Amino acid sequence: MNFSCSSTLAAIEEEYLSHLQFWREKLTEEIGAMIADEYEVFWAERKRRIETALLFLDSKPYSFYFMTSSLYPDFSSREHYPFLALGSYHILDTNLGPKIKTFSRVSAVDKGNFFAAIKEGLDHEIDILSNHGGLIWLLPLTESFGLEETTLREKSNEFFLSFFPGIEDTKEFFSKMKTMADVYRAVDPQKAPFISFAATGDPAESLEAKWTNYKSTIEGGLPPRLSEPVFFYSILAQAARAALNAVLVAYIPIK
Amino acid sequence: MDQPKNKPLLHRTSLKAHFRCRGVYVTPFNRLPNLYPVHWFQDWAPEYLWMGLIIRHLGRNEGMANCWVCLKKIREINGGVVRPEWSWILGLPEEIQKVFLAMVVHLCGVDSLSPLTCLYTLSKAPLFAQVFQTDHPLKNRIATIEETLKEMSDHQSPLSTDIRYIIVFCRCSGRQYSFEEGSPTFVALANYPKTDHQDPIMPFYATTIRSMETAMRTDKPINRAFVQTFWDDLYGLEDCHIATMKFKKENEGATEFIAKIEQGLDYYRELLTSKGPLNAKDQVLFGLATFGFKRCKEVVEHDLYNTVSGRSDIRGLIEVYLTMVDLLKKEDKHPSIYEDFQLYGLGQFKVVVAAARESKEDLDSSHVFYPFLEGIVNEYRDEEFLNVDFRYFENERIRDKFNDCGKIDLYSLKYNYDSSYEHALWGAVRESSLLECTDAGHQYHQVPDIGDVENLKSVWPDCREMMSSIMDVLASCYGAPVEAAVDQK
Repeated sequence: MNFSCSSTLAAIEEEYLSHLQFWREKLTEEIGAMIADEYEVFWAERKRRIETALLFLDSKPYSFYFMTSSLYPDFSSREHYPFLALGSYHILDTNLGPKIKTFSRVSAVDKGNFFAAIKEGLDHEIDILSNHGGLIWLLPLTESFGLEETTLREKSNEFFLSFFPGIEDTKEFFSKMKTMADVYRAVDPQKAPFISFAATGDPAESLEAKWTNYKSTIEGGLPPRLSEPVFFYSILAQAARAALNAVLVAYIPIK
Repeated sequence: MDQPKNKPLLHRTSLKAHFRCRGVYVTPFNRLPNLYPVHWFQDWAPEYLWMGLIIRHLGRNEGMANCWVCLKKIREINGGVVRPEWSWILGLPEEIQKVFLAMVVHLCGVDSLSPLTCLYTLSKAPLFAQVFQTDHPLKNRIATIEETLKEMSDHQSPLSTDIRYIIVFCRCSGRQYSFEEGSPTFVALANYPKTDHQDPIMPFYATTIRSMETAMRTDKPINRAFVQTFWDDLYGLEDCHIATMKFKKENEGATEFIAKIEQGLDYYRELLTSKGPLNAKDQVLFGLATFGFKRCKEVVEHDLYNTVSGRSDIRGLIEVYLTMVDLLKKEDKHPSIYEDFQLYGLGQFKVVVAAARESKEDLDSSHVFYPFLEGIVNEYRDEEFLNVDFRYFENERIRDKFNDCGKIDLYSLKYNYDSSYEHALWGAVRESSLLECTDAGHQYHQVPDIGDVENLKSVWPDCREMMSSIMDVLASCYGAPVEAAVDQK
């Protein structure tokens, strides 16, 4: 992990926490729109710094980051929140933005409920940063979507394959990985802890244990026509694509 | 009488009018006591941007009048004290701020200052944010600020002068200053707001206003923290827009020229070596010309026309030419000048060889081939008999040599410029390696040209001219070569 990348993001997260606390303290229905405005300005002011820091993700050897499902992303409900793991750091989407921005458009009738939801959102993010600050970063990953599909597929495959040293492309992965035992053998043991599939998963668990637990939570079992390694790939590569789409489009200029 | 062809638009003090003191040319302004440059845009524009926004929003007359009415209101309720700086206004007691902000809304409308809400948000200026909050998209608000700052970035622009008029008027109305009725200053103050910027008398009024504002600024300290925060916040909100220059590759007839020069030098070589070994003079003059030719050829073969290295080559060519002319000029009075020139140069290499002998570093990967250097140093005489002269050759400054040879223009217009490149002086670094961002909100900062998107003006016309001059020198000594020719410009 690059030092300047992490220290930049860590500094931004500290600033974000203090702003969250300020907004939470001041929040009333009357000034909700102002908080929404400040939220937008806050991230806009830092966009260039974040952009620069995240650019490091694109350059090897730092680019082993991966979509995981630990903590908040909820695979069982099929809701794929963008979520990145960078070495031992995790980036979560602050989905407060889309909600907070609609504050002025909410009708008077719904205002009460909406106001409560914003408060809850602020509490939630304050809680994350207060308790996991330094390990989890909150960034507005879902600000915009729409990265060109081919690039997205190539990049997500590249990141997926970075977990499997010696495997050049997905074709080779599918031809060599006949069973999950092949996958467990081929995965880079240093990177395997960064893959997890459950909200309460233990990073120290083996990939085999994590996958077995995850399988047991799937209603109706695995899809019948897919081999397990292919399903494993589809879950993780898809998730990586969702996350990359958000991160790359929001912050990284497309080359 | 010949007039200079490159007269500047503004009056500029000639170098002759500078005061010379121990090698430094001091400008007349810098000799005046208590006079120093002030930065209207960087240091003061953040303070007066609010007035710029109002004037642009309402138009000149209404905007200026309403700015003054709002400031007058502060004076009324603040014990007769008012200042037009934004940081000062935001620091006023809440009740005064509220009255002022309400007045701005009443006279100028919420949209006049709403662009500032992207800088003065709820956490930074709660009262202001509450009054001027709108749902205008962030990018539109930033664009309005950028456009206004762009107009304010020139301290003499109509908008800047209008703002500076309000500042002056604010000070004068506070009875801090008084002017005799009918005096030019009084007339300018009275007539400025009623006069159109296109009016022929306006330059006189505008100059008076700007001078007064500058003079009044001397007793106002800059609020550095406020100004810095302003620029920092705005910097983050805008993306850079980089301006670049791309010069065309001027290399017409370069390959043919090189072939022609090569043919000419070949002719001289045959001519001179056929009569016996070269004497010191032939060696030196030919060696120099060949050295110059190599540099010229490198420009062509390696496409260095529009590069930094090209400038280094030009400097080398000028130096070759000057040395040849200088040696020829002095040869009558100093018969051994060619031998001395060789020994002087070898003495410089001796220093390097001696340093290499004492060095503890591994020198194998160095671009200097030390064993060969040692051979060269001892080529004409054993180095035990070779002095090292740390002064310029003949103890004569480069500039004086140019002067003596009647080539001072070559020194002033080209050699000096190229020397900046050779020594990595800031002028050269700025010109070649930094791009300018055109955003006023970024204070037109500079960005390193890592992608090499900008190039420099082609060196080829000068390169060709210098190489031709070198060939002219040879021709003056040995006659013009048959067939091969010195370029006929």
